[in-house]
Amino acid sequence: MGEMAVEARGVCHAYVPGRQDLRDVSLDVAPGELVAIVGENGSGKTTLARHINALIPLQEGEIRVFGLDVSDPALVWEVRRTCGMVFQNPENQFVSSVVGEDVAFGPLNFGAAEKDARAAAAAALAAVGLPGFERRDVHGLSGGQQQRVALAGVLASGPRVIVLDEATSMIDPRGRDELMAAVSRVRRERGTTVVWVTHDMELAARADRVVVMRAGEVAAAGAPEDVLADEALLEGAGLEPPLVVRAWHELERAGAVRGPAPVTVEGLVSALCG
Amino acid sequence: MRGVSGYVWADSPLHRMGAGAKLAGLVACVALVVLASSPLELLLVCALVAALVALSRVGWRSAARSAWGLRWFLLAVLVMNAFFFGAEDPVISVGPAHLTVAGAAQGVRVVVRTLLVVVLGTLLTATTRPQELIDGVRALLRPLARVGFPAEAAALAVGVTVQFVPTLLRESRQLMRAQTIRCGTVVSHAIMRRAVSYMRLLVPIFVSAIRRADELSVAMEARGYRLPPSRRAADGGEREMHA
Repeated sequence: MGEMAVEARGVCHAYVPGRQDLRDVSLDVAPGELVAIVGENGSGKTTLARHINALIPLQEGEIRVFGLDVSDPALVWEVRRTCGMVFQNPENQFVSSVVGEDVAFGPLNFGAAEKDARAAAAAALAAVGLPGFERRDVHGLSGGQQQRVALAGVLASGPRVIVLDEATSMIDPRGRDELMAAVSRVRRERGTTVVWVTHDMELAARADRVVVMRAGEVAAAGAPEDVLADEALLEGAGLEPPLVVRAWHELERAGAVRGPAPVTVEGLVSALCG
Repeated sequence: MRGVSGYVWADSPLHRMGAGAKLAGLVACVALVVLASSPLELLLVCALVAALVALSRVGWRSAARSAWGLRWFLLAVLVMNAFFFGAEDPVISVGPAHLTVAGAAQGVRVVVRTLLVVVLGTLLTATTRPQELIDGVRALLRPLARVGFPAEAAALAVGVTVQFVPTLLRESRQLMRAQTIRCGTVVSHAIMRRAVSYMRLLVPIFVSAIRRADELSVAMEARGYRLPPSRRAADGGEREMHA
């Protein structure tokens, strides 16, 4: 098996002594894969995401990002250059109110020359569907556009992995769709690996693989069709299946349909009409 | 048109002037305000500031907006000075409070000085885009970097502060609306109750500002920001990972 984009082994973390916020978490993410991590509040999703970006010190276990050990202080900046992170609230990520200045912040920190950083910022903005936005004011943008600027700010440094930590939870459905389209475009064009921490089950249904977290542990991991159709599993993790799955199970109980539940609208249409 | 961060879109000599020059001019004007003590000197500085407002083309209303927001504070300053500045030749005495001509004159002086500084600051932000302001601060502080002053970090701190102003203002308005819904309008209360209402707003605004600053510091670190080498060496690598 080749090198993994993210490789976590036996990761444990406790913010307070005696508590277990992460318990023996192991996870592999293949290069180019889109993995959704779902779980209720306090299940350890964000803690795991921050470990992948070396934002909190590893207490126990091992995490490697494209072979880079996140616990090695000498590799911290290389890890962060390799793995970018987009946070929940776009407004709390901006260091400048001018889009171009903000997007160029990462490359400049990683040692790029001013001219190269500007070029990387322009390319990253084009990649997220916001070409020519360099001189715009971030406060004049919609929530979806702001989050895409935040994504561009990460992309400008050329990461091979992007971790999105509940990046759609503070934006409207249209903004969510815009962000999802931008992430899909980036994956297609750059082959970037994506780890998407989310509560949004419709979004998780579009991932290559879903990881369910419960009380600091990985409760299940697998294809969306297997994981998201399992009502008992999701209920145990404090989650609700996607609307499509719930509708399918209702129809199944009414005797109208049979077979494995689809997890996306396209899958539902195909199952009903195909 | 008024933009975020107080910037007013217009074409004027002040808008075209470099941010560094404007910052230096602000420092000079504030020095003049502080040094002016006689009524004539204060009047001359007032005339200078009025000329700058006219030159900036931002409009008198925009220039006075921040000062108007301070009206209750300034009134309190005037009253406190008028009644507690001294006890010689009082016009009226009520308990420990003595209304004196010298006190009233001192109150007017303090209020006028404060107003002038506020209007000057408003003029700076109304005619300078946030990024230009950061660049101006950076240019002004650059010579100090030679003696170890963290000029880059200071410029970034100014930029981030300016960047957060519209967000915190919006949040303040939301909190005020929420308080109005639950407790009635803040403006309709008597002065003391109004003061208590404003104090109640300060706590959540303060907490929110700290939370936002914390989230921003994590986001900045994730994007490769690190302290200047001298601080890093002092703090150690492990500390960096915690920041």
